[in-house]
Amino acid sequence: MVFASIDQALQNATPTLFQKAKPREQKASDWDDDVRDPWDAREVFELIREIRDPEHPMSLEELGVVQEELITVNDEENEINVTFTPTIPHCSMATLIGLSISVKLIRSLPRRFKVNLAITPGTHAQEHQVNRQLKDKERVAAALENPNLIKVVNNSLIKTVEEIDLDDDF
Amino acid sequence: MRLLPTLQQELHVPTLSAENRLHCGRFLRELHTRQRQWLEQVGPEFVTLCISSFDGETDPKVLLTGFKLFGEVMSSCLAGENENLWDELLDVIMCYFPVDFEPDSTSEDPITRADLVDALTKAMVSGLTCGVPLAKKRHSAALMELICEKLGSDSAAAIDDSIALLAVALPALHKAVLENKLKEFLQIMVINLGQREQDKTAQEQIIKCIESFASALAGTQLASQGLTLLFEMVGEYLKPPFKATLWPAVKALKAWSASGVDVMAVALPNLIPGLSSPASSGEALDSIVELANSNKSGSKNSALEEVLLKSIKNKEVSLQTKLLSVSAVAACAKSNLISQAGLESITLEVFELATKADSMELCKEASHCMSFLAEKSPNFIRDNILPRLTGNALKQETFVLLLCQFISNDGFLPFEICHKLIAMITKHQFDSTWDAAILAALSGLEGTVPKLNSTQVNIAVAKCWFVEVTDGLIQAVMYCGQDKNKKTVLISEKAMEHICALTLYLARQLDQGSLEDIRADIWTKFTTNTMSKGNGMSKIYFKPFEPSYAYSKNQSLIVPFLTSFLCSATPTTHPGNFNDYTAFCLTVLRNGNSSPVHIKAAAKILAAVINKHEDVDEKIWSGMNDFMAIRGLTEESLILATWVTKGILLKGGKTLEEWLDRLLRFTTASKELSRVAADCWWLLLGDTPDLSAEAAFNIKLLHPQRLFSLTLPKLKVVIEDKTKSSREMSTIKENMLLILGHLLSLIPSEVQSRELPPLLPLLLESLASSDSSLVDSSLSTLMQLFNEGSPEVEQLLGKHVEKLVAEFLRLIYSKINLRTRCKALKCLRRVTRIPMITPVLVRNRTDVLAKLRGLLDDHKRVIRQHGALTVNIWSMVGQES
Repeated sequence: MVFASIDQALQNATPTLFQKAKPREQKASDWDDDVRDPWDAREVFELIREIRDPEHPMSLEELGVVQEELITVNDEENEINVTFTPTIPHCSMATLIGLSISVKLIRSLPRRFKVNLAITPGTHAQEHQVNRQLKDKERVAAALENPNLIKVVNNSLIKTVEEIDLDDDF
Repeated sequence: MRLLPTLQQELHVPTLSAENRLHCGRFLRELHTRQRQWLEQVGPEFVTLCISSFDGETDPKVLLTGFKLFGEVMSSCLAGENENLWDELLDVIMCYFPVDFEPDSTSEDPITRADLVDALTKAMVSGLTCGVPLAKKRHSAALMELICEKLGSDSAAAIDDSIALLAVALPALHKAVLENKLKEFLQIMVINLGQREQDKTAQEQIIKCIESFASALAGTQLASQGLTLLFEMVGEYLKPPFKATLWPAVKALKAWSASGVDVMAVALPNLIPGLSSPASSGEALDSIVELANSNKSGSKNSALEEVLLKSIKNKEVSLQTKLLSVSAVAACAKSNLISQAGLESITLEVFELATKADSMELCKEASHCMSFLAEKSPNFIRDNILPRLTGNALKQETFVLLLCQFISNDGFLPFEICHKLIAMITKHQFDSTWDAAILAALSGLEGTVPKLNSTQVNIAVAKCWFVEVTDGLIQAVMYCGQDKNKKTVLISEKAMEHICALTLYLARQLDQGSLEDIRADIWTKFTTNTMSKGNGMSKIYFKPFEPSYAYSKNQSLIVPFLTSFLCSATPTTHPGNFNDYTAFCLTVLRNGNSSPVHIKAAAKILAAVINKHEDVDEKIWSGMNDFMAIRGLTEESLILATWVTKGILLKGGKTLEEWLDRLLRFTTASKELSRVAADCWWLLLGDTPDLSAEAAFNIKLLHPQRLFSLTLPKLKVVIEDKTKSSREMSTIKENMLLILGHLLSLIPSEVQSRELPPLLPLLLESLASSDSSLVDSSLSTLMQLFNEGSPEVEQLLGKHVEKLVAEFLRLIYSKINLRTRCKALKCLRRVTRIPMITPVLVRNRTDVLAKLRGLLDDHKRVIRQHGALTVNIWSMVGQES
């Protein structure tokens, strides 16, 4: 094995690819300071769609792991529910993907929201174990203290921090 | 003869002080240079003396001299055919490899590591070329042993030095040694390639090293042996499903192509299965492109032809994969890997793609590929493809784009193709179904005509262009009449851009005689009002410079064509330059009804005359001065001032300062005009095709610096003027900042870094202003500096980063408009990319993140989006990713 250091088997070498959603339609009120823009599922989806899969150079949206339909937002009740669907039932990366989504949401959402992140029911062999790990706040916090893990998570989030192209005359 | 035994007995160099050891080294070098004849008789004894004197030396200065001495001794073959002596010589110097040395920064004349590495390398390879066969063989073996050992070590420095040493030694190494060490060398290099996959520079070095090794074996049996060995090591990685190991494997094989062997033939069978799955076909094609680009064998490959044909025909793949298959065809055609029969069948398929693909991007890529295919089989294209690109077929823009590709191909008739396209442009402009094809033809001509090499063809194309296009444009505006909505594609904005660009280029291709005739003809048509269409009541005249004429508005749409032509082929008359052309321009200025379009044309032509003549006629200056005085601070006078100033600035005239003052005065005009005037400063240094090197303008190299040094004091005077009210002052300051932003972004980096420090307080002060538009333009200026400034400017801004961050954080919560808040957030993100300031950023990170938290629940989504992005970027500051 001459390339032993980078030779790792892919768990899902030929994943199914999904169509990317079109950008949100611009409205005149978007730039009107007197109009309040409510939180919606699309806004939360925008935050996580570009997270990279740890195995493939594709986004979670392209792999169908995150979908707008799997997100609900209750602005008044301060609650957001997000479920994600691993590409295969035995995906060992599910926890890492969940952690990346969790980190991204912790960094991007106001603290008033209670975020429930879980695997879409019936889509993963170890659904309950992974969900338990993701719900454990201390565990997530401890993971964020681990330099190696945070490096992997930051790598998967790197595409989500590319400059957004808004009509801002710059 | 008595000296040497005495030296051997009495001189114990290692026991002396460093200074004396250095003297001894210099003495021995001197002896070697001056007493060569004598030394040849006592060679071995002298070599022994050198060895005993410097074995185990550690002082860098002495070592440097020692390395040089050893190099000289080995080059002069003093060790003769004595195996032991050669071995000892090598042993003494090789133990210093790789050089482990930290330079002494306190020393006055410090020796660097590079000095030692250089001297040691020269010493180590000197035996290879000394002419003694024994030395070459022993040296080669010892050096390869050493290199392979160090290449396999864990130290990056050892690997880098070994690669560098190998590059120097390779051309002279003994072939038998290369053969012995081939397998070991390849194994080590491939392992290194995999291990250092994150380090791009190291990877490039390794690739270069494999390439050099392969080149050294070119034409020998070892080249194909090497390929077999390499393929045994990495061949597995070329099979799907592909993993990260595919790329180092492809890189290694690609590098081995330098030996001239047919790597493609060996690698292709493993890659082929990858083409059948959508998930791997892209990577397989990419690998084929890489291997084809480097293939020097020129061996035809029928399996490859089959693969290419299949992938070009395959409709069930993504656009990206399809584009890759076109690139693969181009790469394989360029490297002569396809047989004539294969080329023909592939050409027909690529033609289908170029003309019928759904995606325009794919059509363009396929058209481009056709030009490579045309290079390889021009006869086939001429006989089978060109006949399909005639008549109504050219109505399709894809056919036109394809035809344009052949203009600059050898073996075709460029004038005929250009003529056909120019005729098509003018003839079919009245039928809107041809619009896309006409625009494609103009764009294609603009891209390919400048690549024509033949002067005669250039002249012929230029003549055809000016005759046909002038008439075509005049017909177009006559056809439109007064109707604002009735236009042919030829006078659309996009078409005019292409026409002006081609005109600028082609005007300079004409020979003197043709130029004068064509210029006189076009000038007469545009300025004498003699051309007409129709009869009686319906008769229309062509009077593009007659503002009072009802049809003039549409007719003036083609004035930029005349302007570009005269800016490029500016009329020269001697001794004076007050002639029909310049006199007419001054008349246009004097005409109170002239529109900005007319003034702009006159201003640009006058700017060209001023730029291209040493002594400009006084009548021209006074005509322009009168115009400026009469029109005062108006849009028309601003147009003249801008273009004339640019004409003078480019060549560096005495009157520059006077015209700059005039231009600066506009910043105190009405709010709207002063804003336009401030933006006009961009034109002075920015890209303006009509006033450029392409239009043969005289351009002094240091003109940006001159503009900056003349303008800066003037800007300061205006800013510090206390006589204006605060309201007026804020508009003026805003304009000054805009001018400053334009100048700073366009001047060379060394001037930027010199001039910026005194200006930074001004920018910071403006950020704190209560005037929101001033804040907005200051943020734009800062962003411009971040993005377009030099690394030195970036560093300078980095020194003030804490102040800047504090201002940005204040601005994002202030009651200014949403766009300005977004700009402040964008600047706040941009500062994190300034190199070398991570410790400052890390120190401020917690505070910044705490202050940004509130934005995440802003009532506006756009602020929340920018806020979340900024929080995420600041969260990663100081963390690895």
